[in-house]
Amino acid sequence: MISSAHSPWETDPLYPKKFSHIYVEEAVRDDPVTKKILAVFPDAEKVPIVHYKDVFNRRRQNVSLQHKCQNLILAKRSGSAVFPGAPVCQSFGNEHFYYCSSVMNCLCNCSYCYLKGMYPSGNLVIFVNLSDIFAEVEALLAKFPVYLCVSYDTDLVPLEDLIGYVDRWCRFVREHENLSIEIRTKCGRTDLYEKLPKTDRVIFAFTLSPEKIAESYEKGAGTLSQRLQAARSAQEAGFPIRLCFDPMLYIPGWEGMYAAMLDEAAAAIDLATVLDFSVGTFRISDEYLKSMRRQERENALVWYPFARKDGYCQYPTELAGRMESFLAGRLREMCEGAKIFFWEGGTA
Amino acid sequence: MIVILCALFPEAAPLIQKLCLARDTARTPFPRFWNQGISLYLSGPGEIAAAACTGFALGREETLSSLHLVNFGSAAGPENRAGELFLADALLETGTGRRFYPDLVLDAKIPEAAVRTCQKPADRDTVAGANDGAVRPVLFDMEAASICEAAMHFLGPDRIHFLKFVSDAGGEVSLTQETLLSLSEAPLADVLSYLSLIRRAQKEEKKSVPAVDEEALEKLSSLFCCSVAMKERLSVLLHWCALSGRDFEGEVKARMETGVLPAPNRREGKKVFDDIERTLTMGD
Repeated sequence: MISSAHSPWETDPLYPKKFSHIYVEEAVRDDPVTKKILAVFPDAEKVPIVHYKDVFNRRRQNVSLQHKCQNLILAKRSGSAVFPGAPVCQSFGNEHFYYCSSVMNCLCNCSYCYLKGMYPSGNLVIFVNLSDIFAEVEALLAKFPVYLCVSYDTDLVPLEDLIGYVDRWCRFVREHENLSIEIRTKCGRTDLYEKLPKTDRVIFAFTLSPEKIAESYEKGAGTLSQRLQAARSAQEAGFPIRLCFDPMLYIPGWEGMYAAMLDEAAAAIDLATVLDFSVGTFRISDEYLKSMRRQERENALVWYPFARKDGYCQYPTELAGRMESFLAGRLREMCEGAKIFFWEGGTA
Repeated sequence: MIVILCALFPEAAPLIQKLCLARDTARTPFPRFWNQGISLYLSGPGEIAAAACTGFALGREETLSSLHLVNFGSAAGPENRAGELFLADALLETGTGRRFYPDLVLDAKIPEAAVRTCQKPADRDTVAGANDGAVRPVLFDMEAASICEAAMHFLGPDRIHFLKFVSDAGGEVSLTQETLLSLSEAPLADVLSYLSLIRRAQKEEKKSVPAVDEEALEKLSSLFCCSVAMKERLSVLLHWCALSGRDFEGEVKARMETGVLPAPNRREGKKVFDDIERTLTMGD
């Protein structure tokens, strides 16, 4: 069934289990993906709905609470699902940088996650019509080569046993020579990669955080050592890997923690074999932050007095520069010639 | 606070008795019974009365931050489920086709059902037709969807709850007061357990929200001669310091001792504020 080295399926004992309710759009009731998912949760209350937005877009939802007892919505994506990359996201030097949204929200419950400010709901939406998204990508590929991030507004890897989208994306990439994709994850499972169709145009990007941050602020995600093991498994299975030190968080003792994290990464993985690295301090759209602060009165990470710049909130330039320079500098010391990317507004 | 709405007195009577609710003697458009932390209103039957009562009950509350609303009452449903209590997870207002989905975030062991709200009592064929071959029970009432629509102007979907017991299978037969009273007594234990779950959730919410000291904010604001924008920054900084254990007060005291504070004007106040913010937010 759903295997994982970590615990994104754990629920607070005060609340109902994850996916205690599954809302199913009438249009996808008989879809094979829907049926497969429903079969995994025989005890869930299946609530028929007309359109996913009737549930997902309700007013005044308690996103934090919903993350503690997340429900599932199965829907059909209508309209575009492929979008140009946002300025705060890194293009890694790719000209035609897009991201797509086949799943909205995430099994993990990271305290700083921008999705909590972006979406009106904490429930997970799975669009079962992935083939329509493939068609949309093919239309772009007819015009130019595409670099596509498929796991931005979610983490597809912990969902793989349920929906199999990672496998389907790998197959799709193998069939389309001018497509490269990034699958970003914080998942610690190691058993997946050897089973996937191999291609060097699928980059598995592992977001790494110091252990204390992972433990305190990334609930449901793998531990640092689990993620490093997973990255090694992906590499051994023949996939290029990217290590993302992003978002870096400013907490007391950050320098020591990030230095220790790099040491642990270097002990687990030959850094010279890593495709590239991304470094970035926490930043978020002004609007998303407002929304998160309304919801999360007790979350110190989002209440930091950020500096506002061009509609985005970030650490003061001096601090962000210090943090990014520190990490990039250490990385360069440990791995000569490391290819390090910073986001457009980055300071290092 | 928990606000309970019932359409009719016989539906409410067992709760009024069990919760020791006293009749509010003040003149109000809807009869109100209350005790510490609970207000029960009788809306009268029908969608308009229910929506009006919801607006009245919620509109008069000074604080809605931890308020939950419960609609308890009878509904027509499958004949073989008579007397059973259900928690509504989907509501349909049959006249407009509008749908509502309360968030069921309490771990209640009460079976769930869809509820369709009509302006008139549903007839027997309609109730039977909706339930014929249905995987989930479909109940028919005259209030739930309109209560939900009205309540959503005040509360989120996790704070609106619908508990419905099956009183009949629809049709013209009108229930006597005695029958309705006895039917509403049957699920009382489950309803009380559900209210306990709400209270537990309310306690959890209270634990997790740090208090905002408006008075301290005002005092500090005048100390720095804050503009509106700066007061907002001050509020964020104070909140962050409280959450992250930074000593804002100590920084202010130190500057009071050196005579930098109180600031003589807004410009000087901003300089001092920037200095404190920098010290607190960037000092490792």
